[in-house]
Amino acid sequence: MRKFKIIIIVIVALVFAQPLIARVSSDNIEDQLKNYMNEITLKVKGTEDPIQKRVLLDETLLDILKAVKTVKALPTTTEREQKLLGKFEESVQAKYDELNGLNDFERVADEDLDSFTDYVLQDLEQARNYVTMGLGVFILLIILIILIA
Amino acid sequence: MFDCAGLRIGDSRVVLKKLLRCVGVLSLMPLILISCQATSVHREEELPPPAGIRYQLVYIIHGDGSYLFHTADGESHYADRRVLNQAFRTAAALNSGEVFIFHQKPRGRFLFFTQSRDGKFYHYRGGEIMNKISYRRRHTPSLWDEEYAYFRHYRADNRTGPGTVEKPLLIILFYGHQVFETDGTEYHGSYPDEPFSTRELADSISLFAAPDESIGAGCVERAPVDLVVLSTCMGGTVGTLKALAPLSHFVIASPESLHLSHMDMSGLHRLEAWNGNDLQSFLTEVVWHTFTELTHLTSTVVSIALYNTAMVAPLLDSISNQYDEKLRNLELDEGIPLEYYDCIEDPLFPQEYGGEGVFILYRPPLFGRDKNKISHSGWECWK
Repeated sequence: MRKFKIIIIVIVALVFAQPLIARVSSDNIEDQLKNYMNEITLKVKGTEDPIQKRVLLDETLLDILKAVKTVKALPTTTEREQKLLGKFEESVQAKYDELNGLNDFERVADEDLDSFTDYVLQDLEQARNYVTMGLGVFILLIILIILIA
Repeated sequence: MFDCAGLRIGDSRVVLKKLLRCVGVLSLMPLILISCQATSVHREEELPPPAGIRYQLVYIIHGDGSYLFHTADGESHYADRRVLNQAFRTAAALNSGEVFIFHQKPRGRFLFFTQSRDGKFYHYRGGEIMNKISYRRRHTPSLWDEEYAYFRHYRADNRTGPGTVEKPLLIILFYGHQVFETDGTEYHGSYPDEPFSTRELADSISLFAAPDESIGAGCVERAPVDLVVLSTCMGGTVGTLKALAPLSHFVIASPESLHLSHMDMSGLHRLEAWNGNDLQSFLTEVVWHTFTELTHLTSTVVSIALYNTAMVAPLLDSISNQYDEKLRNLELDEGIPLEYYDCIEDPLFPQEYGGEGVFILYRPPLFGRDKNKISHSGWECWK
C-alpha cells in the first residue's frame, strides 16, 4: 500500500515537473549566461575600489574568451558555429581591449567603469541576433559550464 | 466519492475498479482545465458601439525564446512580459480604439496527455478588456493564421455589415528577435525547424493587408496596414523594408541592434487626442517618445527610424537588384550574415541619397568602436 502511494506521488510529481524540465534544456541556458553576467555586473558596481572593479571585469572578459576558444576547438563544433563563435569572440575581445586601452581604444576611465559594465551586460542582452541565435544549446551549455567552473 | 489513498489489497476487483476511476479522473483533468481557458469578460451587448472605433492595434509579442534581460539595478525582466504589460496599459487608455494582443509563448506539455496552449489572446475594446482566450499556434507557428482568425472574428468593423463603417487606422506591432532575410530557422524556441524569416513576417502581415471584404462586394482593392512597428534587432535592412513596404504606409524599425527592453510604444495612447490628420507628424512624436525612453535605459546603440514607404520606394527600386545579388552571394557563402553596417558606407549605395522618406533618431553606443559615430542613414546592409 505504501509503495503504491509513493508510486502515485512520484508519477504526479513527474507530470507536473515535466514542462519545467523540458524548458531548462533550451532557452534557459541562454538565460543562465545572462544571469551570470548580471552577477558580475552587480559585483563590479558593489565594489568601491576602481582597481578591484577593473580586475573583476578583466578576469570575466578573459574567462569568456577562454571559454569561447575552448568551444571553438571542440571537434563537434561545426564550421558555421565556429564562424559565429568567432564573431562573438571579436566582440568580447573589443570590450577587453577598450577596458585596457589596447588596439587603438581609449582606456575606459575609472569613473566610467560602472557604465561600462552595464554596457557589457546590455550588449549581451540585445534582442537575440545573428550571433547568439545560431549557437546551439550544447555550445551555450559548455560555455556556461566553463564559466561557472 | 472515491479515495485513491484508501485502496486495500485483498479484493483485486475493487482495487482495479478504484484504479480505473483514478485514471479516468486524471485523464479528464486536462479537459476540465482547458475548458476554463477561454474567458469572455463582457457580453456582446455590453461592448462599446463599433462605430466609435477609430483605430485598431494588433500586438504580436514573441515570447518563445530567451527574452531575459536585467535593468541597471540588477533586477531581472522578461522582455515579452514587460511588453505585454505595456500593451495592457496602452489598450486600457484607448477609449476609441480596439486592441488585439497576442502573446506567443513557449510550448509546454500538460500531464503528458496534451500539449499546453502556446498562445494567449487579449481583446480590448474602448479601453475595456472583452476577451481572454488561450489558443494553439502549433499548427502554424510561423504564420499568424490563428491570430488573424481571432482578429477577423472579434474586430468591431466586422460586425457592422458592408459599407457601414469607416475603416479604422490599423497598426501592427511585432516584438521579437531579429528576423532574418535568409535562413529563418531556430527562431522559435519550441519549433526550431519552423522558419520565420522576413518572408513569413511579410506573409503574416499581408493577411491583415488583404482585400477588405467589408468595403463592399466586388471590391478587390488592397487595404494596406497604416503602420507596422518592428521591434527587433536590424529591422531597418533594405531587404526587410522591401518586404514590408508594399504592405504598410509607414514602418517603424530599428536599423541597428535593439536592446531587449524593446521599443516602448506607449506613446500610441496619444491616438486619443490625435485629430486624424497628418499621420506622419503624429508618428514622429511617437518615435521621439520611444527613442527618449530607450536612451534613458541603455548604454548600447539606439536607432529608431520611421519609414514612409511610398517615399522610400524609389530608393528601394534603385538598389534592389544589387542588394539581391549581394544576398545571393552571401547565401552561397553558407548564408551567414556575419556583419551589418550603415549602407551609406557602401560605395554602391546612391551617394546622392539625402534621407528621403526616413526620419531617424540615432544615439551611438556609449562605448565601443562606434561611440563617435554621429548619424545613421536609416538603412542597414550586410557584408
